[in-house]
Amino acid sequence: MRLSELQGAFRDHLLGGDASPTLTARVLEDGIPVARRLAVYRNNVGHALMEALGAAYPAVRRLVGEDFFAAVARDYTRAHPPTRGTLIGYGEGFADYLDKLPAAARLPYLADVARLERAWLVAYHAPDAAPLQASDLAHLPPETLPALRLRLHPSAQLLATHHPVREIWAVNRQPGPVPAMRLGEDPDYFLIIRPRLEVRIRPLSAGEYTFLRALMDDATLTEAFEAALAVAPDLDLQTHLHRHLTGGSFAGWQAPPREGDNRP
Amino acid sequence: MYERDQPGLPARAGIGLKASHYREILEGNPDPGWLEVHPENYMGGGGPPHHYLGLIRRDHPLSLHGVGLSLGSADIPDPAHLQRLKALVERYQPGEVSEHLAWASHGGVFLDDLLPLPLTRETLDHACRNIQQVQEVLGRRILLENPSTYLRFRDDEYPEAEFLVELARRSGCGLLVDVNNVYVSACNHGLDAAAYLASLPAALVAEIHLAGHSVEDVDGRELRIDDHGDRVAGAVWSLYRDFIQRVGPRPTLIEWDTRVPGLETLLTEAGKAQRLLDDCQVDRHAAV
Repeated sequence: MRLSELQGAFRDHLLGGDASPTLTARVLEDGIPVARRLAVYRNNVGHALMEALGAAYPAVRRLVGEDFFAAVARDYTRAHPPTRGTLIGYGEGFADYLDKLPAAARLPYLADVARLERAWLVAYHAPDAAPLQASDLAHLPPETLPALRLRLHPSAQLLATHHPVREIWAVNRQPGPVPAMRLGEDPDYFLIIRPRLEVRIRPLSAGEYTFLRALMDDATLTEAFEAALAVAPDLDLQTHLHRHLTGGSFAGWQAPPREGDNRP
Repeated sequence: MYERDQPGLPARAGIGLKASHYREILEGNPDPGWLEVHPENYMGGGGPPHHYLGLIRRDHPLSLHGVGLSLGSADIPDPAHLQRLKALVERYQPGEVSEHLAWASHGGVFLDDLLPLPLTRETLDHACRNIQQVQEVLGRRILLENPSTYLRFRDDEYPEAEFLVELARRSGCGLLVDVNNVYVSACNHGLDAAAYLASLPAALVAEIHLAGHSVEDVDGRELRIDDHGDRVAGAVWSLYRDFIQRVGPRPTLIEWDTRVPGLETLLTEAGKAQRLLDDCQVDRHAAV
């Protein structure tokens, strides 16, 4: 058997398949049954991948408990093993997987907690950039502002969840007892961002979320304002824009085309 | 004083750099001989890992010790992974770059473990090709580490030490000798750890690793598991002492990856290795 076939058979066994006779026939028994020798590797791989998933989703792990998490992680990591030689970024589809998992149906908010944890992790490892300051825009002629395109910080993640999960997330990322919580019905909107070293989770109103989402999709300030006002006619856009400018939500801007890219 | 740009690693005792120790190393001003990280933990775009590693790198020699290249695969190394490693090598200018005689990926699936290889001529060809490719892309020699193993294949054509020496000679790589792994594998397969170490030419040995392991009972037979979760075992210390007496002082790492203790404990273990390195230098001078 060629090396490639051996490694294919070994991999399939590590991911839950039976040990093929071509694999077991090649392993030296030498006092310890071949199955037990292979089990050392299978346990190591299972444990490593479970820990990688658990490190990415600590609140989910705590919410469902160790036994349940181990079972879900075993099935998930076998069905969706890592494809890159680093585990940074592993577990991308875990929230959608939980959404469809019948065993998790009694915790309808679980997938949303996973989405928030995922956004936190993506922001944590995102490329760094110096946040834009309000003063960076001060020299722009006022008539250029309506067509200005503000670029969100490279770490910025916008998230709309079906369940209000911020408090559930927060208490389950800390050690200590979990207090009783009353869950509302409204969806939650978040900006998850790391302007410098620490990841911030900023709750947003629906209008504010729509405004930032439009900017992320490359809208001009005017277009983004209009989109936000369609959702929330009373929205105080000046205040929100100021808050995001001072809070480091942006990392650059592009003036109208005739002036070219004026990123300072 | 430490010069950031001096080549290689100092022949002193170093420790693995853990995220939980970033601040203490920056603020407490300890003096480990050097630090080692897994490059895979620094393959994100930015954020705290790069921030702290960048600051720490100013004051300490660094080694990048990979677990994700899968040099023993029949597949060639993942070009994207290799480029990420190259970017880290350029950014942090490590004294050494090392990997393992093992495989971890097959057919685009990464298993995050150091899996055992049949020690055959076919494997030698694949590993040699993969190491040479990595060295070409990185523009430097790498070191290859002997793994802990829990099984062997029936069709092995070489003892492991001989396989490593042949691979180093053919590919031009150096050897990172993990004395704990030598001991763990020798116990698991009923082989002689001292004879293994004695067969490695001193000129190929560029770095040494030491770590703790655990012992499991499998149907009444002992199986040693390389879990990097404890102090270095007594038998491993004495193999290490004899080994450096023969090959000379080498950069030596204390690895501790599970149940990571406080920085003080790591530095205490490194201190033991440092004393043996110091003794070894004194003895060698005395012998001249």
